[in-house]
Amino acid sequence: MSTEAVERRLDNALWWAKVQSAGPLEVDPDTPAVAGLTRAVSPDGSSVWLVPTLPSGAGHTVLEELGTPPVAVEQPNETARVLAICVTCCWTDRSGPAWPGAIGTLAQVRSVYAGMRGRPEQSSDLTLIIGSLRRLHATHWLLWNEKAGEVRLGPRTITWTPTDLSTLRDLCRHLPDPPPAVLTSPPPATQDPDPLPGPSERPPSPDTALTTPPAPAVADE
Amino acid sequence: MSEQHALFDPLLQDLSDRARDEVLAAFSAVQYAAHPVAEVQLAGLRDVTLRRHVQKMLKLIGRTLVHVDGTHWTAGYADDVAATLTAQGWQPLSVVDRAVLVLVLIHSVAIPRSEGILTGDSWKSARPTTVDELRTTKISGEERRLALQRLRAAGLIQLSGDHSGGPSYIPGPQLQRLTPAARRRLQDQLILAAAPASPIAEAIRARNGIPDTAEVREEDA
Repeated sequence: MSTEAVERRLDNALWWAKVQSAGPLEVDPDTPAVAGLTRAVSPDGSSVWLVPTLPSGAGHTVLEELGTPPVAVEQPNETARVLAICVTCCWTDRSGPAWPGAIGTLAQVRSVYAGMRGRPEQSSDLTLIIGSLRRLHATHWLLWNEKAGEVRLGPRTITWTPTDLSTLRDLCRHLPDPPPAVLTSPPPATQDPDPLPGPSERPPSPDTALTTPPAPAVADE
Repeated sequence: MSEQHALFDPLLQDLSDRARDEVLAAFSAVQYAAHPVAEVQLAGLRDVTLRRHVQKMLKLIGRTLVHVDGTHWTAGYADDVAATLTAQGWQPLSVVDRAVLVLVLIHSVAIPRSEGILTGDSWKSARPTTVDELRTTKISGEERRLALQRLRAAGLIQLSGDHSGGPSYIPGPQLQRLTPAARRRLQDQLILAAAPASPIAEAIRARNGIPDTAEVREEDA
């Protein structure tokens, strides 16, 4: 193998190690392409997210067949519910891909959440919603701007296939419609590149959110 | 997600459909399962030729197979890739998260190992670290709580089953992904930090080509 090919392989391996240890990376649009990493261009075109992709037949979906569970997501059902709600709020043009979608607000998420439970909002709802938004932000399924109370779909959603999207389209039809978004920041909002570790990369499946009861809360201390 | 995969296809294209499935299943299991998987469970790990393909796939993304207890396999970062990223200053964990993780490793592994309760070089341990042992004046309660949450989500620590004295933690399944060299580095670093004047610390410094602190002090004088 030529020196150049060896160097390119090492460079690829380093980029892959980075996205595996820190989750999808936001880089300058001039960054050269890396084999196997999809580029999710940010809404204003100022940056690009590098998101790992795998061949069909590989990934988390295989684990279930093998009976070897991935690293557990805390409050999996609540987290999946909130992801489903954010898809409803942020994927406004459902004839196209989900990424990058539109900005949704916490008020919209709270409203759909209460509608989904079929009852007025309860004080504990907000804690569950915020916890889920943080978890999904840390794993790049969402970009959650806590200060502004605004949420976008995360770069990982670029890996959703046409089949995934058609399932999600169905799911959105079953959820209450969100009220119109009232934004506090002028769009397009640029996100804080929050370097939270995100190795827990199991994609929560929003399609199970409606049928499974919430898991019991786990005390932190 | 895609029919073609720029990184892995050149490796996989010569395999039969069946061999490809076995290799991808084994690759997914060692990469994404929370715990090491049994060799007997997967043809892609049992069969030496197929396992070599799994190793080649991992190498492309900066990873390597790690043998656990002689019967199980998992994947971790390849030593050369980890060394290069460390030299570049790559660090996805915040300083608080690392501090809390180190406290758990000291109480759950390093101390029991020094007492002869734990043998071998594994970072697996059933000795729980209590919240009291994690209290330090340098990290606030809120910071510690959030760090514990992130470390748990990352699989670096986990709740121990022993809840008699409130919640307590043990090292998480991700620690089993350390290669033998990485396990030794971690052990060395803990010794250098905990007992820098001990003869064993001196031996570590000599092995790593780091000047002895006593000599440094003399030179300073």
